[in-house]
Amino acid sequence: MNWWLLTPEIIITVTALLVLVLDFMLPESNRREGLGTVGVLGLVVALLASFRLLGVEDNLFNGVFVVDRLAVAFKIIFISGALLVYLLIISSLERLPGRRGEFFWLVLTALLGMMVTAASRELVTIYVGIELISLSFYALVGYRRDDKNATEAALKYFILGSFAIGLWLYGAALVYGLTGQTDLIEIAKMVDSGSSPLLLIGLFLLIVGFGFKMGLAPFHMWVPDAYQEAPTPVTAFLAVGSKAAAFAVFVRVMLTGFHSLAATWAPWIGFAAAVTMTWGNAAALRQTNIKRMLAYSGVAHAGYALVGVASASAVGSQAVTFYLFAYLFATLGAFAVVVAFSNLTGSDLISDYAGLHWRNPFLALGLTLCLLSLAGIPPLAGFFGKFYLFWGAIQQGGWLLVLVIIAAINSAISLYYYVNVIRVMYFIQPSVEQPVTSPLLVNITLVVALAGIALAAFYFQPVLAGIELAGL
Amino acid sequence: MPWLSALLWLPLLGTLLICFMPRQQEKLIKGTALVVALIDLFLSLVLYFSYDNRLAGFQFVEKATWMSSPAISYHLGVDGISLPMVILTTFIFVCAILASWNIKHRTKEYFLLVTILETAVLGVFVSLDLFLFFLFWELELIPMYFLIGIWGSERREYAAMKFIIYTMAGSAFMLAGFLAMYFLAPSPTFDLVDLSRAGFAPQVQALLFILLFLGFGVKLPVFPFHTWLPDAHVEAPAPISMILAGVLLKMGGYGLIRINAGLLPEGLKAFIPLLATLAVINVIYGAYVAMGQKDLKTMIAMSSVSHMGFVLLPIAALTPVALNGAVLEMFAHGTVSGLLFFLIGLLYERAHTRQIPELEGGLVAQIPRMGVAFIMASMASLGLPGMSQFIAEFMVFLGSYPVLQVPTIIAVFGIVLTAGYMLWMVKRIFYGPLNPRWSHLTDMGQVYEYIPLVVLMGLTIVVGVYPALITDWSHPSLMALLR
Repeated sequence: MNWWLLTPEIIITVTALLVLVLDFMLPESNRREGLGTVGVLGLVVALLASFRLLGVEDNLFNGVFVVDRLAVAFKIIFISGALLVYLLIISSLERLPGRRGEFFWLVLTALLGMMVTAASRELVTIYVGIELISLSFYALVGYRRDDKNATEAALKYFILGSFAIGLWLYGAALVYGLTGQTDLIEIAKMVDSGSSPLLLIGLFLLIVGFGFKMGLAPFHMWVPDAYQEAPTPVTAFLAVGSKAAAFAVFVRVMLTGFHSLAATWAPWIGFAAAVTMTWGNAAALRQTNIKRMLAYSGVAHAGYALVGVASASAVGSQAVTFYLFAYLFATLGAFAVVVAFSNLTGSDLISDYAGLHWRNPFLALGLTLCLLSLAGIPPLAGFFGKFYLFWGAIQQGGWLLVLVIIAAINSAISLYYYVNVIRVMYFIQPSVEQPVTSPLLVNITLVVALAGIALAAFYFQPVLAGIELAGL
Repeated sequence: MPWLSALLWLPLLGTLLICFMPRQQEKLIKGTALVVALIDLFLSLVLYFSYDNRLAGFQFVEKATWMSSPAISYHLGVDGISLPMVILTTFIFVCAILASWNIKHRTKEYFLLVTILETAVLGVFVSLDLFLFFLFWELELIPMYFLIGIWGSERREYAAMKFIIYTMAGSAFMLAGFLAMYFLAPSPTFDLVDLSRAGFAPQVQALLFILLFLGFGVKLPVFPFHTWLPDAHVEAPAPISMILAGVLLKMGGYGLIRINAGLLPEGLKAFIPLLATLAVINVIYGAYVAMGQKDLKTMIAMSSVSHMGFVLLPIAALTPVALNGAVLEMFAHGTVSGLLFFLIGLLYERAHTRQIPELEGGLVAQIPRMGVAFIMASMASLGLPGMSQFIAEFMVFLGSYPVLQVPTIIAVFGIVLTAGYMLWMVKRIFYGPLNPRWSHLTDMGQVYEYIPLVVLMGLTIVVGVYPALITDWSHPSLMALLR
């Protein structure tokens, strides 16, 4: 039993407990700084520990918990995401109501859930991981308890999420009943030797359950409300962390457990991808609130990433990983700007971003680069992500070509709403001349996010090589 | 010496320098942009004169591996088809920067974007790797979007958005085509030189042709994808219109010749009737719409649509003479339309209107130097012998007629229509009794106003009298392309 492999998880668990205890012990006056510092330190150590695990191929508890390149790559994504979210939380904490301590704590438990999810190869562990993420986020989304809309959004998220995980469990039960296994590798062996219609129903229910968590159309109804009403740093983490975790485990379940049924499920996924990206884009076009716009654009991005899953190949799964990497940095960067802007002006309306270029050129430029990366304009990371996704799909040929064309048309359409924000920031004179000041931590987050975008773009090859190892 | 890399990245170095300059130092910023563009012009002339025009292949080739999987290389090179485009680009940018000398609004950002734009456009013409080509192709969009959207006239935001959405939609198809090519090649590659030996099956070529044609056709622009062009032209500031008409449209024509005709000749054959029809529609419809315009800029924009038909027709005909004409037409139209937009910009600065009915009346008496320049540019545009566009169109007709008789005969009438609207415009604005409303107009006086005029007019006449300056360079390469 090599406990060393669990170091990142252990560090996060210890940090979470430490934060919980310190919350009661620290005096009110410097609680914020104290909890923030402890959390950041824990995250940095966990990040270093994860880097040390790159290249390790091993597992624990008879294969229930795996350490491979896919898992470690995702852990690095999650921890970096949590780190940036922490900076955002610290810099906007005074605007959050209620006791602030558990905020730090819940982010860490959600992170722990993500790490467990990405590393699990067994249905029960996957369930535990997903539920840990979801429960943390139910509380985080409903954090503004006195706000009717926030409570409604949290309730919606909670009910739909519980319903989804119920369906998922039903699917898992069917799979277990038919194969007698919960370990994905054992399931794969049983599936290889023959499948039944009931097994396909089980698989379908699993996909639906994951679909809710990933925010795929038509299971995305909770996404815009939850995104809009949650405190913005939570929205950022929900957008990147929770979604990426669901994708990580989804890729693993489909490709490890049910790879031999790929001919059956790949068209379902392809169809879901087409519907999701089209729906998400169509809805994003109409939004006037930037958080809702980013929420719907996130739905569309889940659709693009699904193209990689639908390719059902090693290249496809690498492409998904790379894509989520690019998406993480661009989205976090965008949310950093949203946090800074709403902290000062209290508004999330796109029209209020008018003339941001004059009020704070750095924020405007940062948001522009993030949005252009999301739109997939070279030479930014988002372009390489899309390119690699399309590359993987075209390699498979057949109906995936049609899917790529749909995705290509969609990315052209998406340009409209991304560029619209840029237009508002640069072309329209501001009605208020007062400069927007951005807190240092927000600036740091934005710089790191931009560095991530640039790193992925200019060091495409090394980053890709890192993920290539993370393949199947 | 990596000449092409120097040529390509120098403007971006200028961008970087400008980045660090305080925004009040407008003279310094303009000067930097100009110096960089001038050095680039000089470099391109060095390339032009040291290019061995007896050889057909790519010269000044630079190649380095960028990524191994997917196989992408940093592969640059020029041949007789791209070299004229490179020269055109460096000339037009110097002229456009001089024409921007009066920009007072957000000067620093303006020149930042112009220098990025120059790198992007040059990159398209010198890339021999389709991935690299695509990167530069897309890189051009963003500066152009801002240049139209911030410095344009009233409906600038609408025009900028329309421009970016149209082009982006086209290039999405183009990217799909490139990727398909990559996988269908015997050994997966984006390398243009390797792909030219790939030998795709005819049906595959036809499919690829459609995808790429959607990308390049929007840019050229081919009817019915041309509607972004008049909007972009009318709203863009004059120097940006110069760049747009002078160079950016040629990216589409260049792509069609280099990639569609060069790599997919079998696929092209299936579409000859369609291409010829579209070319004729472009020529006649563009000229017809131009005739009805009141705004000078819309008129010239539509005449560009019309003239780009003369680039499309040879691609349908696919004979060496016609294609040579197409390359020459791209060069000639670049200088002539650049000049026309420059002059319209000067006129607009003084009169604050571009409406032909308002400008009407004997301006040549009031502003003789500008008037004469305008008349000469109009003559060049309608194809007066001795000027570059005449010989280009002549070659297009000469080369296309044996293959496509009927379309060529119809297209010739485009010249008549062009002569019609150009002469009518010149007569209305410059001749007749002097309109007292314009008695305050001043003629050209500044040096920076003269230089673009002299340079562009000079190129038009020199190439018109001695077209071999372009055709001797492009001919061997085109022969190799068609083989």
